[in-house]
Amino acid sequence: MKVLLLIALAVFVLAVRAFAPEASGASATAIGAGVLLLAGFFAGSLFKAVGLPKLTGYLAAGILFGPQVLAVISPAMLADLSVFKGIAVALLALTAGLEMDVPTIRPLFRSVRWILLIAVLGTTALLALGVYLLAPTLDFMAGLEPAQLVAVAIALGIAISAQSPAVVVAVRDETAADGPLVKTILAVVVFADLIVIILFAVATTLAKTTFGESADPLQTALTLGWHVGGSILAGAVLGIVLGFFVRQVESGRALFVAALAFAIAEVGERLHLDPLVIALTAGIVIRNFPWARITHWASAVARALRPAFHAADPAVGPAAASAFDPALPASAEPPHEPALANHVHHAVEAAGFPVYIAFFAIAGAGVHLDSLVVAILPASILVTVRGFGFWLGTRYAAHLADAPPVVGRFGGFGLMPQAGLALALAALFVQSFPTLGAGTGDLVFSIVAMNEMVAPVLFRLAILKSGEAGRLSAPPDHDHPAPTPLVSVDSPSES
Amino acid sequence: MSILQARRRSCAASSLLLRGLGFTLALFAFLALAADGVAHASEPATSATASLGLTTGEAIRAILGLLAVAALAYIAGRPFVRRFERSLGLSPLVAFGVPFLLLGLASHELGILSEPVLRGISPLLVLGLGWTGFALGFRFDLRLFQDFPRELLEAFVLVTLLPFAAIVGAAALLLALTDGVSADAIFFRDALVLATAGAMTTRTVVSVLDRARDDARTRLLRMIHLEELAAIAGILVLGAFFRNGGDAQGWTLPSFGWVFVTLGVGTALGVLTFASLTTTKSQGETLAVTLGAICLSAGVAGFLRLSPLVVCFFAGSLLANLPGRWKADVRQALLDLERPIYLLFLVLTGALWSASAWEAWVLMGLFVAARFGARYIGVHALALRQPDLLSPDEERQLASSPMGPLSIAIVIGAQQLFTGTTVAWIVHAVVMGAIVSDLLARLIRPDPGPRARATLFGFGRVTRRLVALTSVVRPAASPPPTVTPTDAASKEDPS
Repeated sequence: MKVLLLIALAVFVLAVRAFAPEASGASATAIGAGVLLLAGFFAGSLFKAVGLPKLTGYLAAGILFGPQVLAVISPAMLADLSVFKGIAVALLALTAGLEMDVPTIRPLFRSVRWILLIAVLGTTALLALGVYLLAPTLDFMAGLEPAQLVAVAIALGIAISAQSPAVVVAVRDETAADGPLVKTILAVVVFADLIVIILFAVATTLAKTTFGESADPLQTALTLGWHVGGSILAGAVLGIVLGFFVRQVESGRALFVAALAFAIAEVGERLHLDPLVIALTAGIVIRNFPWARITHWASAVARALRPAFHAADPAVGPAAASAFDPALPASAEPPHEPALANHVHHAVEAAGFPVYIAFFAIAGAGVHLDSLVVAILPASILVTVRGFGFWLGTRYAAHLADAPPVVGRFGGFGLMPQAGLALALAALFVQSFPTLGAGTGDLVFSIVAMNEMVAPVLFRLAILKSGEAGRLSAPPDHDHPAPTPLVSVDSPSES
Repeated sequence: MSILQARRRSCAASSLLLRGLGFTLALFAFLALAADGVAHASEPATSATASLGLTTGEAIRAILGLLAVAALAYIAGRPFVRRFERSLGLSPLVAFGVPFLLLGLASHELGILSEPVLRGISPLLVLGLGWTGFALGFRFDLRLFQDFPRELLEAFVLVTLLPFAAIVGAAALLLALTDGVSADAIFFRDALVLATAGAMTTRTVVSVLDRARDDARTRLLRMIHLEELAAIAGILVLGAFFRNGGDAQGWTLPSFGWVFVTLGVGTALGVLTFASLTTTKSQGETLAVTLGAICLSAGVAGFLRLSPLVVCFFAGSLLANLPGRWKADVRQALLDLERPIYLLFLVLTGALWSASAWEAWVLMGLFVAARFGARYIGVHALALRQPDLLSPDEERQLASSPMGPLSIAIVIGAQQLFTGTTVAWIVHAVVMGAIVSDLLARLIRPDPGPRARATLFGFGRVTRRLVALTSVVRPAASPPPTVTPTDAASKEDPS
């Protein structure tokens, strides 16, 4: 049925596109969004039916309907749909942050540290070496001085090593996995992303000096400080705002979260903050902020003020005092902290599903198959090196850290998925070194394309083999037996 | 619940709302100021809004402003606000229409809804029209037309067609005199659009009828359904016969051929959506597919220069009249966002509003006079022919019935379909005419009625419900409500 629907959708839209082959504008954007949502949904279900991740199905739908294959989606449509990318990354990062329950993951810190040091940094070094050794086969590196060669190899090695918390969260959600493997990998990819961002900024600044450009270390430090520090600060503020909103308002949470994700993505980019870090911090704050303690203090203040209100008006005094109590008025019990994070999680889930489909389908549609063909040999070698480095590095790191065996055996597969960050770094690299041409972009795009298609499948298999799949029980949220829909449903009595 | 408890909760709720609003405004102000500060030192960004050519400060102002407007529209669309406004005897246009119109005007002046931003959010307008059409179609129950009584046809002729004819005559005369008579009869097209919008009766009329007279409510609702069907048919024919040819691209078909294309596309999309919805397994999947289907339907309609309202109406009505367990989810999602979308239309209308042409004001005056006069005559003629159909109070309500969201959607849709200076006049005439006729209706009906009067003074009841609605404790999940034709007006009325 779903195959037929996919065919019908393709035929229908291709017939419509015959009306005006040059599709652009508001209507074309709406068509693009609709096609990717529906095709992604069908393909995701089909892939799930044959034991593959839904996410790979979304990507496959994007590739199929994208400019490279059926061309149902034109490059102009794809550019207009980029708004989904920002929202999805923010929502996925928020989910990842919500998973960072410090007391729970504290025992895993030792493993996380070792994996970061050996698997992530070790693989980055290995990739830099790989790029250096492959330089004779890469056109864009021809004619570079030895110092330039080393600098470019290091910067590219860092960019290629970037991982994807978004894919890890999506596959984890799909398999409903829980356990040391998933928790460790999630923490590693979150911290690794921060490390990659910082290392890349430093490496490109140093690389620029080898090309004769003036690089001001102070300026770099300030920019980096604003980028990371500002993002963490903004994330903390937004986390507290979101937490208070969710505590006080019941309806429209999913829409609020989606709107906040849009603001994080768009405003964050404009302010040169990192949406991923902002959303991640917001999630961590929501999960770990001492809401109960704050509520307790506020309640004490409210209790102290109650006599004053009572004196002013005996009828409304107690209610007015309780209104100043952020815990909630009247007799409502203050929700305990995990429940609050679960409320937010539900809201993110409800808002996120269509956004994720669109995001991964757009990512698929953006895969440069032509670049893949051009750079297939060096890209394949680097993908292999990357995968092998992560796998072996994680195994060794887990052994050193006395991590549970499952982390050593399967952890490396969780580090392999790659998506937005690597592409963003590649684009930044091309922008920073225009003399090198588009070849660098092609190489990184090819590596990301390969990893996009293969790594989620491997990670899903690893989760299934580890036995952690299906362990994630529904959060203990008695108020919300089912996820809140995209738009809230009022009770019939209130409609 | 005692009076004391009610007052306590109402006080607490108002305090909560005020605090939330104050906090949000303060945060927006802080972010806007901070953003402006950073904007001058920033490089061009790579966000989704970057393609609009806005500076960082402008982009952030636009993003935050849009989010604030969307939040206000969402809040104004909540059921408790609707009940509040009904209980005070206020019409939607007076309560929220004018403020949102002014908000649009102010947003334009403040640079939030500048020309590039309006261009950037144009896909939302297409999606909004599609959503309205889908929601309208989803309410279209064919069973309401079974054994359609003859006296209702008579009522339709007198209450709907008579004003329609009067408006066509008056507007065509004025447009022919001011804009001239061209070969393609633009004046007649605009007069027909204006008359179609003016002939609509808002669904709120049904809800203000005496609840004891269930049969009268049902009959009136059936007549309104017929009106809506006639309006859709009218736009369908207008869109085909006064089709804006545009450039050389596209299919060459006779005018009547476009009627069949519209019907065919609507039906094909309805079938595709129905088949897709049958494959969904959860509420999240249903919503994702619905969203995808509306995007696709509205996009295809806009792409083929057909009316998104009409195409989506046919797709929606097909779904409404086919069986499916997903119907309650789809219905709730569609209706929840219908009014916020209508309010956003008003904001956009306000932003695009140009009141400089005197002809637009004259047209508005003529439109209101013709509509009001013909409706008054029609309803009284109906009362003479069918004395038992309506009570004297109900006659007054029907004669002075304001225009609903469909009227606004019709002219906004016309603005998308047709070109010419007079299109802006008809938008002005309908939007301003809706407000003026509502005010006139208030003057004619000085007595708000016993229900409205009772709740106007019984303020506590409304606030008590407000508290109940804003409470964090969500009511237990209940089975989806079954909507009977009689209840439909109060449950489904977006206005």
